Formats: sequence, C-alpha cells, structure tokens
Amino acid sequence: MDTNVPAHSFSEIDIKAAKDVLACFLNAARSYRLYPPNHIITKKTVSRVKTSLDQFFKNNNELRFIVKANDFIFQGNTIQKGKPNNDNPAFLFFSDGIRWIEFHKGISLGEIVGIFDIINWYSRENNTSEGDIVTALWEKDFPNFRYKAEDVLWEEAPLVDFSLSPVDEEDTIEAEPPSEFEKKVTLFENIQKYKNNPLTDLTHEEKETLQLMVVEHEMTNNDDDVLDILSIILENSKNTDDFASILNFQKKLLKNIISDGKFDHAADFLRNLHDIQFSYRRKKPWVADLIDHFRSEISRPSYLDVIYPHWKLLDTTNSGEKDIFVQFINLLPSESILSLMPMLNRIKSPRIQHRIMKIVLKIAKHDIEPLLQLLNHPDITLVQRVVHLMRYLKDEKSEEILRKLISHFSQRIRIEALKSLVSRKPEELVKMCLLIEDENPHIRKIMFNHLAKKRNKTVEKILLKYLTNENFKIDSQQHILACYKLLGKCGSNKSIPFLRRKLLDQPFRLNRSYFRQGAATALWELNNDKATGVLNKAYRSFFPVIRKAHHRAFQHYE
Amino acid sequence: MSSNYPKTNPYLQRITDGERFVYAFYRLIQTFKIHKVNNPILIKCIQEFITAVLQWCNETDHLKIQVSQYRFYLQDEKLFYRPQCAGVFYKTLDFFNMIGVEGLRIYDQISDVSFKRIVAFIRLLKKAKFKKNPPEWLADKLTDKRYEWVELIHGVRNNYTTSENRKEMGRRTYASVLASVKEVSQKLKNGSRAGIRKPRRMIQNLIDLMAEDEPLFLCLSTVRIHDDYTYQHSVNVAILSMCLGKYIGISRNSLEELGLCGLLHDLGKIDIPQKIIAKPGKLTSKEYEEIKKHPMNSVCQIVKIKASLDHKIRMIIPPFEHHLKYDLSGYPQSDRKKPLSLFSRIIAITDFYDALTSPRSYRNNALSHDEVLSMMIEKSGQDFDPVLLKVFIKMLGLYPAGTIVQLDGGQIGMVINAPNSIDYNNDKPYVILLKRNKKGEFLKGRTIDLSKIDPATGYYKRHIIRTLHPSTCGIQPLEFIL
Repeated sequence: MDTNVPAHSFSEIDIKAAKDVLACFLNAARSYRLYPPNHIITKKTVSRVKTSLDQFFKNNNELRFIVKANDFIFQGNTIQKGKPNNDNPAFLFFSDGIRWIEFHKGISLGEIVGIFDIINWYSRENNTSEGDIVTALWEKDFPNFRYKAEDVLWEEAPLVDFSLSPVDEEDTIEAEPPSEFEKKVTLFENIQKYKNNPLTDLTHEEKETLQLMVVEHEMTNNDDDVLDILSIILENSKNTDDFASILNFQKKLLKNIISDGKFDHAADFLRNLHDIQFSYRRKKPWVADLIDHFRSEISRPSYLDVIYPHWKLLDTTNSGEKDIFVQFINLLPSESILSLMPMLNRIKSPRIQHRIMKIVLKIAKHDIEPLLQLLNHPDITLVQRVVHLMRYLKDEKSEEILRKLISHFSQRIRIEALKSLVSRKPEELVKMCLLIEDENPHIRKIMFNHLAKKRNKTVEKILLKYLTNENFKIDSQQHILACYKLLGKCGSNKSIPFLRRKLLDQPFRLNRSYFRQGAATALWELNNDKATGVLNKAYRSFFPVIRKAHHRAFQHYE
Repeated sequence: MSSNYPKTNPYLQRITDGERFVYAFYRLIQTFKIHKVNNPILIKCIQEFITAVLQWCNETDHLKIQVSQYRFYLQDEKLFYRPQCAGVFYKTLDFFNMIGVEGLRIYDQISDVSFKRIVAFIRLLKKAKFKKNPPEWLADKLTDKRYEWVELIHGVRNNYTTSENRKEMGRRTYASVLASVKEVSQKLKNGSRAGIRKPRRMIQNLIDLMAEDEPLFLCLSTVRIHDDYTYQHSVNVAILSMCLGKYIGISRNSLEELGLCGLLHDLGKIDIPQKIIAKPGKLTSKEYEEIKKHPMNSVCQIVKIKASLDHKIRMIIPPFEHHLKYDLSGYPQSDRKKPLSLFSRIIAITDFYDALTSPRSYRNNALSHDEVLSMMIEKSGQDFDPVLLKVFIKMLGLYPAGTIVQLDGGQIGMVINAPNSIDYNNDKPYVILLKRNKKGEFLKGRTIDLSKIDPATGYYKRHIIRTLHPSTCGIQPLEFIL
C-alpha cells in the first residue's frame, strides 16, 4: 500500500484549502444522502466541492487524502474523524480497500458528480455481491480522480505459489542431441513459413472487418440472443431448479426486450414457451406448473407496464410493425387483461383505445375470467369498458353477468350492460321488459327503443297487463304515453279491444286524458284496418275528449 | 515433531517443516499482541516456535531464514509451499518487508531462553517498523539487550524495483484470480449463491496490470497447475482473451466483461463428475455426451450467480458458444443459426490454445506453442474466425515469452522479452539458458541475444531448433521471468 504522503510541502494556506475541500466533500456527501441528486441543495453543495478544489489547485496539481479506517488524513494529520457507518465516506472507502483518494487539477463538475453518485449508491446498497466502490470507480475511470485500492477483503484466500506446480518426473524431458531432433519434421516449420506469409499481416479489408466487429460488439444489445440461448437450455433442462432459475431470469430479460420494443423476439419466445409446455405436458408435469407461474408473473401490471409506451404502434402506418406488436399482445396470457385494460385510462387516442379493446377481446375469448374479475374494479370507467366488451362475448356466463349488471349500483354500468345485452341477444330482453318501469330514463329509453323494433306477443302480453292494472311506479304522462306507443309497435290485434276501451269508453271521464291519447297513439302504431276502424270512430265521436285524443295522436304523427 | 501439533487440525499435521516454521513464527507475532506472557495460548505458540526452530538445527547450530525476491529461503534453500499456506506466507513476507530485515539467524540456544525474552524479542520486531531505520535500530537493540541467540542477517531493505513490484503484483493477482474463480465455483457447487465482486476486482486488477506490463501479463498465461487444471485454464483463457481483446481495440469496460466470460466459461464443469473430467484414457461416447453439457451447465450456473441482470446477460453468450465452431458445427447444437458473438470467437481460440498447450490427465505432454498454432491455422475459417486467429498468432508471435526453446547444441533456454521491448514477431529473441542442478531442478543461466551475428561468419551465432512447452520440462516460466 502506498500511503506515503507525496513529497511535497504545503503552505498553511494550502492546508486550510485542503481542509475546506474535505469539509465541502463531506457536506456534499451528506446532501446526497438527504436529497435527490437534482435537488438545488445537492447541486449547490457539489458545486462548492468544485470551487474549493479549484481554490486548492491554484497552487497545487493534486490533492491526496489518506483513508484510514473511518478517518481522512492529510499531511499526516487526521482532519476528519468519522464513525464506522455507511454515512461516512471514509468508512465506505476503507471497507472496500481504498487507501487513498486523489483529486487532480482539471477535475470537472461531471466527474465530481459521478464520484458522489457512486458513494451514494454504495452507502445505500447493502448488497455488494456484484461490485463495490472500487469496481464502480474503475469502470468510470475518472481522468482526474485517482485512488489506491488494496484487495484486503480476501487476503485470507488460499493463494498459489507458482514454484510448486508439480510435474511428474516421467513427463520431463532432457535435451536431445541435435542430430536426433534435426530429423524431426515439426509443425513448427509451418509457423515459420507463415512468418513471411500474409497470414499474420492483416489486409486492409481484414483490418476494417476487425474494426467493424469491435464497433458492432460495443453497440449491440444482446438481450434477444441471451433469451434464445436460455430457451435452448430450457428445452434441454431436466432439472426443476435449473428450469425455474432460467425461467425466472428469462422473465426479467423478457421485460427488457419488451421495453426495447423487440416484439418479434418476445413473440417468438412466448410461442416457444408454449411449445415447451405442450411437449412436456406428460413427461414433465412440473414444467407446466412452472410455465403457468411464469405466465401469471408476466401478466402483472408492474411487469406489463413496459408495454405502455408502445401502444402507439397500433396507430402506426407501418403495418409490419403493428402486426408484430398485435401478435405479441395476442400471445400474452389471459391474466394480462388485468394489466392491459387499466392502461386504457392513460391512453388519450380513442382510436388506439378501440384497437386495444379489440385485442383484449380476442384474448378474453380464450378465457373470460380475468375480464370478469375487472368488473369488481373500483374504476367505473374501466368497468364500463369491460361491460362494453362483453357485448361481443357470446357465452352464457357473460350474458348472465350482464343481466346481473343491469342491477349494478352505477347507472353507467347498468346502461352499458343493457346496451350490451340488447346488442348480443335481443330476444332475451323481452324477459326483462319490466325494465320499462326502471327509474333510470336512459334505461327505459333503451328498453323502449329495443322492444319497439319488432312485434312480440310476450311483450304485448306484459304490456297489456301492465297498462290494464295501471299499477304504475312511474306515473308520469310521458312514460304512460311511451308504454302505449310501445304496445302499438310490438303488439297485435289482440290489443285492439283493450285500446278501443281506453280510447272510446267512459267519455265523461275527463282526467287522465293521456290514457286515451296513448291508446290512440298505439292504434296509429298498429296501423291495420281494425285499428284504423277504431281510430275513425274516435275521429267521428260526439265526445270532444275522444276526438281530442285522436287529434293529439294524429298531430304527433303529422 | 508433528506430534506436538494439535491433532484437531489435520492440515497442520501434513505441513512441511518449512511451512511449520513460518506458521509458528506467524502465529507468534499475531498471538503476542493479544495475550500476556503467562497466557497458555501464547505459551503454546512459543513452544511451537522453539520446536520449529530446533528441528532445523540438527546439522548446524542455527536456523537461517532469509527473504529474497519475495521468497523465503530456509538454510539457503528456497522454501516451497503449497497454495493453502500462501496466505500466511505472504503475510509473513510482508512483515519482513515492513521491518526491512533481510533475514534472521536463530541459534539452538533458544531452547534455554525464557519465554519472556522471546516475547520481548518479538515485541522489538514489531516496534521496529515504526522506527526511522528499522534494521539499524533493531540491530542496536539486539546488541544492547544481549540477544545472543538471535542475529539479524544484514542486508539492504527489501526495496523492490518497480518492475519487481509489478511482477509480485502479477503473481499475487494471478493467485487471487484463481482463488476467486475457485470460490465462485465451490459456492455454486455447494448450492450457495456466489457473487462476482471478487472476480470483477481481480479482472480489473489484471487489466491494470496488462496496461502496465503487457509481456508480463501474457506471460502469466503460461502458468500450469496440474491439481487445479480447470481453474488455472479459466484464468489463462481470461488472460489470453483480454490480451487479444486489447489487441483488437476492445474498450476497457468490455475487456472486463471479456475477462469475466473467460473466467467463468467452464463453470458448468462443476456439474460433471470429477472422474470424467480427470479420466486418464479416452472418454466413452456417454462420457463425452456428459462433457458436451458443460457449456449449457455454465449458463445455468451463471444464471444462479448473485449479480444484476445486466451483468449476467453479458456473461452468458460466450460460455454457451465457446465450443461452437466458426462454421457453427461443434456443440451444443440447436436450431439457432446466428453467427457466434465476438467474445465467443475470441474465447473459442484462447480456450483451444490453452487446452492444447496444457498437459492433461489423458495426454502426458502438452503440445508446444507452434504445434498448437499450426493446428489452429489448419482449421482457420472452419473452427476459428480467420481474422481473429491471425491477430492471435500475431499477438503471441513466434516465440512468446515463456516459450522453452532448444538451441543448436542441445541447450534448453526460455524466451524472455528483450528489455523494454515488445516484438511479437521477433524470431531472434532473448533467451535465458536453463541448466539442471544435481537435484534435477532447472537453474537460471546467462541470457543470450539470438539476434547477435558472428562477425567471423556473418551468420547468427545461435539458432532455435525447436520449441517445447514449459510443462513438459517441468518448468514454470513465471519462476524465471517474474
């Protein structure tokens, strides 16, 4: 260890300046611990380190601090005594084997920030299994910051003395007389031939190839190759532990690949994984379990969030890119719906939203469960989207759930559920025609519009009963008129006696004239001879109240 | 003597007399700091120390321990020691270095000396390091206090030159790298998780060493340790690969990555039964199939290493591909038909070269440098990347430092680099002549410059007839070069 103080005598001013540097250095290290690196206080304290160093370098070219246990020493004097904890840079340096640090004239602010980044990282990071301050400083290779590190941490490791490498006696050979080996034709001659041969001299093209190789290597990201290789190993793996650890590694790697937008590789990987699961389903049942676990892991929101920046691919004009992306999403496990759907809220483009919903629908067709789980999500907008998607699912389970959702506490969900039901199986809705009396006008409107589309005896029967009993929960004129109109639209001649009674009977009863008007409207809607006959009678009636009802209905259609 | 040693430690029962003395001395200088003179542990240490001294006093009346070139000499003979003892040896050497004493003569009168006096002597040794001129101060003290049973061997302080320091550093770094790869392998083998902090530090040290002294660095790759073939091979592959990497202009940080790949490329061999790895004869097809699994096993082990994703990603491809050939034949075979990565192609070359130049259980004599390179040239473009192979040959040259050569006249010599020069293609290198002593050990002879021309004839004075691998002669080049 070279802990000798450089042979240089410092003036009192220099010593004071060096102490200032250390004070600023420790202060900046403290700020780094308390504030983020881009915080104004952190920035200020770091720039003070630079200023204090510049001051010192007015008269000197380098500044070395000896690190000993928890202390910094300058010129043989301990100028900072610290405690043995990670908040003390001296302790951190010393623990990792650093024996001195040295700042050189010309050190930049960037270098100083880099040094603090490293100190800060290792003061927080307890797990140093892959590196330490020394490895980090080595990698950064700051031109104006030097340090001396000792490998103190493992000096107990058994070392090797080269002088004691055993060689069996019979293996050793003695020099042979020249006459013996001169006869030997050794391959050595081959090499000598090459000496004057272009073999060892690179041609211009070869030099270029070499440069290109190096540049390519330095620039290339090998994540996809590693994923491929691991898949090969996975296919050949017979050991559960190895299989699990590789799959776990691939999980992390796949996230990188998705994040980098390499969806073709990601899709290939998922396909391959599927094949492995399929081919091993009998021979190694544990494979399926591990892969299932893997699938559920990669479906989590925290994992799939990396897809978010790539949704814009759905709106790209590059169809190849878009197709690859869609293929990849389609290969995701159905549980991924739980992560994909909530992302819709963050997407502004309705077109992209629509496309994502289409993809999700495709995934849900294989397994609807995850989609149904989202119905309990607290975000009503999200639930509404789910209900909207359910209209395209033709299975009974989703239909049943949609029916239940009509009683959802949220009106938006009820309407969406109803719309979904209406769009997927209109005839079933007849059973729910009592919704005509729903408190929500939108629901009623949907029901009315839907039921009005075609004539239906069940609906007619229900409506007749409803209008005959007159036990209305919604006793508004508008609602009752709508019910009569609906009866006209979906009813038959079977309703005519009832409508006739309502229109023509009890001419002296003046209140509730809208019943009479409703009956007239219904007859207009029935639009057949019998109905027209009744309407004609109303038209020619002696009673103004009857004629008025006819007139109003007529006006409505005029 | 061995019966005096604690039976609880079987290792201590097997150590040599030389090792026993160094251990006893080391334990004494460590123990006296903690315990008082009458402490049984310290008393035991003193007893062991006296016993260890006396066992060397059968033929003479004293034990002479000397330090030279960072090696111990006991009774003027170089003290050999096993890897397991190296830690203690290095610490004891450091102690001597610190007090600036070349050596000690301890006379058999020690058996009559009180324990208190022995402890006082050790205390003086310790104190000396804080003095301005430790050897002088110590010599004065020994005279003043009448320590007649011990004598300092006067000499200059062990001031190593920069070059010697570097050589020592090279030696230590090599040993530490070896220890680090062993540790990782053993931890993984035991099912515990291994980190890469130590291997990284060591590889970084190697890269620094390479930057300072490239010929020395390259020379480190000639180390051959029979007992530790796999680990030594891994270190050598790392060294050769980093050297080749540097030669083609790979960045410093990528060199670290390459070094780690080299170091861990055979990690998967820990999963293969030792009886197959060390089988002396030809492998059966079943055994060979087992061997062929090691690239995949290496990847499985690397995945288990405790390190960040980024680091592991960078270490996976070369170990997987290092037995795949340039034309993608080799193993492990798969549907993947992508060209090999740059690091894989480098490691394929260095792995082959080091493996064939090493003596193995199934092959008594290793092939010589030129024999292996010739074989590789034959396979250029098929097994090996032709451009990289060219660079590799150019890098090693005709006679890399450490090559054993046979000269006209039958003498054996070892190539060393000409002072302050690196000429990879030099076919007239400097050679140290090696002579066997009575015990059959090689000793350093004079150095000759093969480029010298005989003025009388106009021809070179000496010629190389053939090359031999150091291992076939029982020579460890580092002993002569470092």
